[in-house]
Amino acid sequence: MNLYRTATSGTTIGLVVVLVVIVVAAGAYIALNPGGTTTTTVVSTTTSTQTSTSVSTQTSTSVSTQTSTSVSTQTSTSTVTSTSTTLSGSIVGGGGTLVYPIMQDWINTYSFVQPGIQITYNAVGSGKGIQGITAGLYNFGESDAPLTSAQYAGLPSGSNLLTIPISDSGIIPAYNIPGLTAHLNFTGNVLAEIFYGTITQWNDPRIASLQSSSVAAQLPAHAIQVYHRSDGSGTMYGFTQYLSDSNATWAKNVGFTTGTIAWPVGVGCLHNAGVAQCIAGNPYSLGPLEIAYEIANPGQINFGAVRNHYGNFILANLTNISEALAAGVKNGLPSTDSQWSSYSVIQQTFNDTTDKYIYPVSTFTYALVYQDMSGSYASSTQVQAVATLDFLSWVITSGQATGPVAPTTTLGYPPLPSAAVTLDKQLLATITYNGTPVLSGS
Amino acid sequence: MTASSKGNRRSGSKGDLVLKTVVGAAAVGIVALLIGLGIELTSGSWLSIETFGLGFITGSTWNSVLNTYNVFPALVGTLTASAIALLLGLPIGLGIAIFLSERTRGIRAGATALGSLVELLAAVPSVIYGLWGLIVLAPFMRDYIEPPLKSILGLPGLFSGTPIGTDLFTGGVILAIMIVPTISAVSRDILNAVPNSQREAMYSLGATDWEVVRKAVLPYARSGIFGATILGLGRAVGETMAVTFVIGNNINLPKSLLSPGATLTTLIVNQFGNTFDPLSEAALVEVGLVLFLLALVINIFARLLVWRMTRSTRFRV
Repeated sequence: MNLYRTATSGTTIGLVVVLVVIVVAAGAYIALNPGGTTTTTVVSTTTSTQTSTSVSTQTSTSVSTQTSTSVSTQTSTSTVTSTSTTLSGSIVGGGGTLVYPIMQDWINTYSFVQPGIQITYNAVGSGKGIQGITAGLYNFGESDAPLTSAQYAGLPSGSNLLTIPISDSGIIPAYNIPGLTAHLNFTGNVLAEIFYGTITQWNDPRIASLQSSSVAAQLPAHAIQVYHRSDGSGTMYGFTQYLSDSNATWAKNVGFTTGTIAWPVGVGCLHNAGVAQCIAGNPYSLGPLEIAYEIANPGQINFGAVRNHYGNFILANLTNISEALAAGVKNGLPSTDSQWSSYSVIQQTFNDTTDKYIYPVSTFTYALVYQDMSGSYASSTQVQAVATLDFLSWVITSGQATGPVAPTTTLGYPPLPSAAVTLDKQLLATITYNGTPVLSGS
Repeated sequence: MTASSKGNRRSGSKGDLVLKTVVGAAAVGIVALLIGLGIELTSGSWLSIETFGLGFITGSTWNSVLNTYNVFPALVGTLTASAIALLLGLPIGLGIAIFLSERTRGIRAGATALGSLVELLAAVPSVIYGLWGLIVLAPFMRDYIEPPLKSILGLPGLFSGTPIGTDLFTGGVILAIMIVPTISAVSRDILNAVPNSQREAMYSLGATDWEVVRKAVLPYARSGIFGATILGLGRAVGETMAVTFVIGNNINLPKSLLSPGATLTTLIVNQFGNTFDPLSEAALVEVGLVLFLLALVINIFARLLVWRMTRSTRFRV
């Protein structure tokens, strides 16, 4: 009997130990930010010591309805916040993986600005970001491409979804030719012919004619091994749209999409890191790569310059991508509440003939927010609306900072051009909750 | 002692009720889950079924620009890669099983250690096989395996084209590596279940080891080994991540084994994140439905065979 008891309690203890281990492991896993989801939870304790009462009416309303433990009374701080108000709330965004590295950094840094706001970003892909905001799963969506007209048609009736550029991205032609360290020159047309399978050899005269004679002599008589993304992506959307602008055959027979591109030739590799691995591991390879990858891993992969409309061969960097998008938006963006489906910043940049040093394969990534956040389709409380817009306002201003340690510089995300920031501010100012502008204080 | 065991039994009867309820609910739950999954996949893909009909299976275009989604190339990819996997994996897996059950008789510790090593291989997460496949296996195939195959077996269509390492053939090879532990672990158990009288009878007739294995052991375990093979096939058909890394992910109809290809599973993992319009999403769910039916058929087949084998063994002994 004693033996039996011991055995039972032994089993029980064993079970309990296993349970504890599982719970601890799960806790540690969540605390260590698993891939795909970033959760930043910082409970604000500073507000209790604040006694000042100067608060803008709009914000104080939202704060007083809040039941969170961090903010209980009228608050105002002299801390670093843009609105000089401590906000709280828990918001969720979701969308593309392209911005995920900088989004993580934004959420982290912003948690010091507004410790009471908890932001979760689900890196689920652009399409799922649009789907999520359509279904009211997220307070803000994210996409590497503006909505198509079909996607606009799928939005809840009566809603107006705003497209807000939050970051830039450039796509570089990366290659691996053993023994060749020079940066090759490409044009959009030649890239399209390579990816269409018309140009198959590295020493093809159409490639050689773009190079200096010393580089042209080094081009190997070897087949070009073409790589591209296997998954639908904003990077490939930008790249194939550029190819479509550059080459009529590509535009007619392949086109561009964030979904599945029917690549005529080449091998698909999963995600940017996969493309980088495919290029680095296979000699005589060529593939389009998001510049953030190159900047985060400098010198590991060789890439070429692309000729802009002015006629200069430009080697991509943060500055000339930002300038390209500034050139792209200099003729104006879609008016604040109009649809973006027929607007293409890539095409605008492509058609720009006056700017000499812009990098032509540059594109925006966008946050998606409903203009009326009190709409039932937006599934947002007023507190969440305020938190969402405060975060996005911060992202398009402080979040774009450059410098030796700024995330835009170190992570490889070119800062938004000022014209886009101006438009973003106008867009955010039009967002309302119950008819009142959410950002009235700013 | 008697009292305590009675007490145990009495409290156990309450436990019996709990046990019955819990395991009953679990059993019903799994059936409900399976049916629910089938219903959900069918309703989720209804738009695609309506739009493409049978063309979904027979057509070769998967293109978001044209808004046309057909899976024939991916189906060919799944079947080809799985066939290569079986062709390469079955002899090796069976060889390991025969070694473990026949050659290590008398050195049980060695057999156990080796057996657990094989089982450990089956527990390695597939994404690790995938990374290894991309970084190590694919370049190795490109440089050392595929060029000779191309020059020796350069049959039209089979090994033509440029060896690139990430292609259908490498996809099949990595699947073979992954199903070897499954096949060998199950086959070993089946070979161990072959009664020793079978072997002794053969040996007493003066048979060699090879003759014993070939004429007494393998025929006896035939249906069970077939079941193990089907289980391996099931794993090959359903495997996703490892294949995604090395198969090349090209959704055009493959021209040869050295062409980059796609399977049903890699199609889903690559495209699901960026579907928004209802049709492309329904099409991906229908890919899941095709896969579900394929896996279901294979698994039912395997279960029936394993069940038949164990039953016949019991009767023969």
